[in-house]
Amino acid sequence: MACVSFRNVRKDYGEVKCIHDFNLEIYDREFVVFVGPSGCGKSTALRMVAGLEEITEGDIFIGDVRINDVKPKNRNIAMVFQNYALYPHMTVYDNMAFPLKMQKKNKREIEERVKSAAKILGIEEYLHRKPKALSGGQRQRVALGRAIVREPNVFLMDEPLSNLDAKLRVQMRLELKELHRRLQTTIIYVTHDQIEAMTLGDRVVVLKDGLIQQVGKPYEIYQKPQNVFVAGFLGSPTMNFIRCQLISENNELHAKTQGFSGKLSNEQKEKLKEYKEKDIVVGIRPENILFNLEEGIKYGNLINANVDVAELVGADTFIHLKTGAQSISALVKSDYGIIEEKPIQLTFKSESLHLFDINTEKAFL
Amino acid sequence: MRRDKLAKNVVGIFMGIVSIAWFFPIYFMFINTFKPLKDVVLNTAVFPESFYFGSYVTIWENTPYLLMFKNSFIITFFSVLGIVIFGSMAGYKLARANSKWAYFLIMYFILTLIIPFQAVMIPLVKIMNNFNLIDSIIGIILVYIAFGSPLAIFLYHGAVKAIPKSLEESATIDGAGPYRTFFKVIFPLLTPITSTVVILQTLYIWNDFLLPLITLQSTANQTLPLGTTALFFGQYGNKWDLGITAIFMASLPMIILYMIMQKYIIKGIVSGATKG
Repeated sequence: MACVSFRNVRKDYGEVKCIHDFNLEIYDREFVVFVGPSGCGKSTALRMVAGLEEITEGDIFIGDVRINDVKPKNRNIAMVFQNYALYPHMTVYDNMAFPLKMQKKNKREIEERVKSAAKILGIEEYLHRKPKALSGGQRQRVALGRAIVREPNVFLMDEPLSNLDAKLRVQMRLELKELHRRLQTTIIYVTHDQIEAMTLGDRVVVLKDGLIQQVGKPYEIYQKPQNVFVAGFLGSPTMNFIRCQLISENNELHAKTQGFSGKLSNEQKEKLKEYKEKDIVVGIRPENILFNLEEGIKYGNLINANVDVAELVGADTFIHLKTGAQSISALVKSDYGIIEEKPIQLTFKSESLHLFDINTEKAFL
Repeated sequence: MRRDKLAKNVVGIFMGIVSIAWFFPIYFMFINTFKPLKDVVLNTAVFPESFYFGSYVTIWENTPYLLMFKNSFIITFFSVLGIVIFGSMAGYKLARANSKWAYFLIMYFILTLIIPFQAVMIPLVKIMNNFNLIDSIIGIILVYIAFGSPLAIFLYHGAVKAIPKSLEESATIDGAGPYRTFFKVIFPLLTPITSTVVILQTLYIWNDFLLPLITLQSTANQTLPLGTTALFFGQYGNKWDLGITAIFMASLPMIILYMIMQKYIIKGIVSGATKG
């Protein structure tokens, strides 16, 4: 069993509070991704599991064992670093054999395990080379290999793909997913890249300023962000936030501001009935902004805007709009033929609106 | 482009002249070891007509050359070993310690580099005397380690800073303790600095005359530079033939060491300079 649980974990660096109120259960064989902007404490949380940082308060368990005072080597974990951290003076084989040598395994077993890991990762032919004679992707495979040979309970990965170029990153992402399926081990993965988080994680933990903002399946978080930060952090291009007033008309609630008008669905209306005439923050994802005007007019969901800039990115065009004083962006099909600096009318579905309290920035739904 | 080429050629010619000038003393020393005293004095620059091995034989049979060589070797070897071990470990720890004290200490070590040996010579002898370390090989080794360490610490400190910390963290997770991490992972990466330190300190200690002169008194403890001078150069006449031969024999190990370590020292100077 390799569940990992954080119980009321806190980490301070002198006066600075790095992590607080950190409570999380990671299940056996789960691929969990910690994501957040730099300085949010995601790496620190990972390093506490590894034993590279002390825990100021609270407990971390791997399985049933409280590991606060267990030495890193006895935690049965393996870590992959952003800069690979391969030993430059050793060959690939020796790099991968190093943890096993430290465990005083016999030569035959070391050879077997290294070779089988090398086979999984497709680096058999480089075993006699030194790291400096390898490309970035190959080096990262060796670093993974060094982790695999240990057959650890938990893999810890600290931004392992950030040093790779964009194309290789996509490829390695797939390989990591494949590897997880094959090894069936718990993985904790740290990244600041929300796409990596969404594509890799069974569950995603969004962090900010040392606090967990939301934990959930990627799509769940994408669909139902619990606050403005999570809504803005996940999803690319990022969600638009528009400050609106709630206005009651004909027994319906409308979120309105200059150039923007949206009718709330029944469910939304029910939740927000006490906020009549008050200001709220409305979030809408660029891909949820539509061209189907007839439907928009029928339901009263309208955006009147001026096209600022249109960026063609292939099948889709990314348009930057100005409505009143606010800037928003939309992702539409390229064949609509958008013309820059012209007025435009767009629409959306009421269900695709995300509604947030203006003070607490928390979602209403 | 043409001017560049010209400049390159001029520099090349200049460097050729300098290297020949540097080579000549060694050449003279070498050819004079094969001449009897009369020829050494009268025909110093002439290539010997026939090779005379008398000087070598006399030194081998009539002087305690082997003993002096052994003393020099033991002193140099253990001093350099000590400097490398202490210097690298201290440099490593100081580079990794994240405290004001570490900064203060490294500054302190750098400051000691500007104090000339002659300035501390007399108090040093007094202190050594108090600790009963005068005329003792262990005593002189300790002093060499103390004098050689600051430069080594300074060089190692800079080199360790350039090594990513994640290497050590990785080794820790892989199950290596602090000493094993240092000797298996960090120390091998410091090879360029180690060879720089080894060359510099070996040359200095092997050739040093002053410290042995003021601390080693008995004949049994004499080093090569000290013994050679005492035996062949004196108030009543210089035995040039034997002196030159003995010095040549003493310089051979250094020449061999330099040839072996040469490629590392260049790497070391470069990598030390650019943190690479």
